[in-house]
Amino acid sequence: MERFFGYLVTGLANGAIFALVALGVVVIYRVSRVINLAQGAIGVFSAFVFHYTLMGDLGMPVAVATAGAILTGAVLGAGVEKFVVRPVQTRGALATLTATTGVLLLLTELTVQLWGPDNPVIASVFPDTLVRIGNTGVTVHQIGTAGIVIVLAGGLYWMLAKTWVGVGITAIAQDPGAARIVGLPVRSIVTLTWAIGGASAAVAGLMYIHLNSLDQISLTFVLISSLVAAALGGFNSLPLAGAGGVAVGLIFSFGQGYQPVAGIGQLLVFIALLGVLLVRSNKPQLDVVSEF
Amino acid sequence: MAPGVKNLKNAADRGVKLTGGPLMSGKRVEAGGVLILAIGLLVWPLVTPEVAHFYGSLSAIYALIGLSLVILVGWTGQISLGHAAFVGCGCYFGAKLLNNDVPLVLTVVLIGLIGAAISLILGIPSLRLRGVYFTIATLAFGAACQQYFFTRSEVRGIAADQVPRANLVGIQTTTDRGLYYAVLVVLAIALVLAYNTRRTDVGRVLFAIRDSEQAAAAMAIKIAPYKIGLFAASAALASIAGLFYGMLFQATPAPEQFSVLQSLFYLAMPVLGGAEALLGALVGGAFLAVGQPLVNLFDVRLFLMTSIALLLTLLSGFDGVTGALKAGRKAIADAVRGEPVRYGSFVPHEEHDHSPPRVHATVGESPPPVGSVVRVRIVPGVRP
Repeated sequence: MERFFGYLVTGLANGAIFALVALGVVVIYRVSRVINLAQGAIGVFSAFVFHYTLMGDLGMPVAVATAGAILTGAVLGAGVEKFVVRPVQTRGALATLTATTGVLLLLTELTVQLWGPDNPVIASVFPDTLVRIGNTGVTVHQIGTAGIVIVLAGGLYWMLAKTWVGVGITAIAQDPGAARIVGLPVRSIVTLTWAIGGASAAVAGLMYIHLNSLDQISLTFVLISSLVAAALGGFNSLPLAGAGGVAVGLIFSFGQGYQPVAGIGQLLVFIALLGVLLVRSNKPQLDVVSEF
Repeated sequence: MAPGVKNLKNAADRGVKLTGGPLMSGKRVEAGGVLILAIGLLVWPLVTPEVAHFYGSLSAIYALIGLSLVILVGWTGQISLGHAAFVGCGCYFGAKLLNNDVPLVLTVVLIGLIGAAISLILGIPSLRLRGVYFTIATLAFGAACQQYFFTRSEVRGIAADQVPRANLVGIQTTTDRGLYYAVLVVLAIALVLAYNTRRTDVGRVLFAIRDSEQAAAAMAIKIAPYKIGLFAASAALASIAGLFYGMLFQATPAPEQFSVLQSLFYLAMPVLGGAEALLGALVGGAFLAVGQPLVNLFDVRLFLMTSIALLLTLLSGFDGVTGALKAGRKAIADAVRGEPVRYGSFVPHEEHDHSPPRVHATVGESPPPVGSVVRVRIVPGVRP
């Protein structure tokens, strides 16, 4: 039972991060019909900037550096949209998807080229003090991660449902042409959405690398897990993507915990994805934009 | 034939613009180019030192992988982010077969079948769905292979397995040059098969699906079997390439050689070379193979340069090197003979009247309001 709770906590903390990346993927997909495969890479790159440049070279305090890293993520997200996705988008979905894989490879390789292949443990705004709940311990960082994700997801939901920008995003998702005709600043809203996606990826990157050692393999794993989570909701539903992220985190954590074989998590997530695909194939209209 | 035109000579006299002519005939230029390329590919190893043969073999193997991606990307419009896993499957299973003294010809066929069979596991659930699900499934498959299957000792062997270099029906593969010729034979067969498939009904159906799945479905084409079948063929080619990859290094490389990042690297081949033309695979393969010694000179990472090249190619708007060449040839041809009339993507045949379409009638005084429907009946026939 003690082990069970331990795996539960780890799974929830990781799952919250997958959920955060998945939310970014879904929001971006809704406004620009692009699956941003570089989402995880943006997070990792921001985390490296945080560790080496902001904290290492510039010696910023943790809180300031964290804000700087989130800003880096937002700039990267907006930059990818402005300089890569938008010029390529006229050439079709295939070229755009290929372009985001190019960005994924570019950012991943750039981290290795600039800062070497080390897998550093990075600092966190939250302390690693253990809080005992019954027989299991939870670190403040883990609680903070879950809290941040819940706050961010709630904030995102509020923004999409209640604010002017959110209504604009929904309008663009339903019909970009009509949205432009009624005078919405479509381009700015799309860029803003990518910036939000990049910032959430940066938060996820900071949290994840503190919990796990970072290497290229775990990066692809974050990416795959969040994509599987987003696919569960057909890239349209924020709640389903969030739930999917937590589910993938739990699957991974329990699989790795009870069957400690190398790569079992990846195998289980692959099998889970096949299951999701089989379930989804019964639903005919996949491309239809539904409400959030 | 245009009205009043008796023969082609007559047509020119009457001011009907003609495209083509022996100089501009795309077919002949292409056939000549392919012939020169084929002779070049056969002859160059005879006049170069031993070192070059390794990279020759490597680019031929990459070209095989590139071809598998070109048919997948260019013909179905799907991208796979797990092709390195198929290369790995071919490499590891191929090593087992060759170590059990299975002849190489049979091994090539068996590995192709194994690769195709594995592809069905993810092809059948994901290719029945439209959209990006296939790409994600291949990504998850690539990660599962790299992390789980390839780290099993039953798959890879305890450490690196030796891979013997068997003969391919009389072609000695003990030298890198021999291996190059062996891979070239397989590559040539694959290229001919692919070229012919494009011109059959199957090929036309595939292009119809790529251009618009809805339109193809409306023509009562069952989409999923074609896409699944083509993915199986692509996986078979990639696996066969993996078999030769193992033979080139004479050992089974570590699972990192077949990682997801490697798949992204392979994806640069159809992008750099061009996914519309089959020869794009050769160009892309050669690029990646000679990339390693080139980037070593400048102390940068190969994948980094590849990703930059990939993004620049996409931003340039050309379909890779072959696409740029094609656009260049078209620009020259247009400059020489004047731009041909096009109807959307249709270019009329050479012997037809190329005068631009005329307005025969206007409906109403002002343009009809947006969204209104105008019914037009087109009466086919020839006006004398």
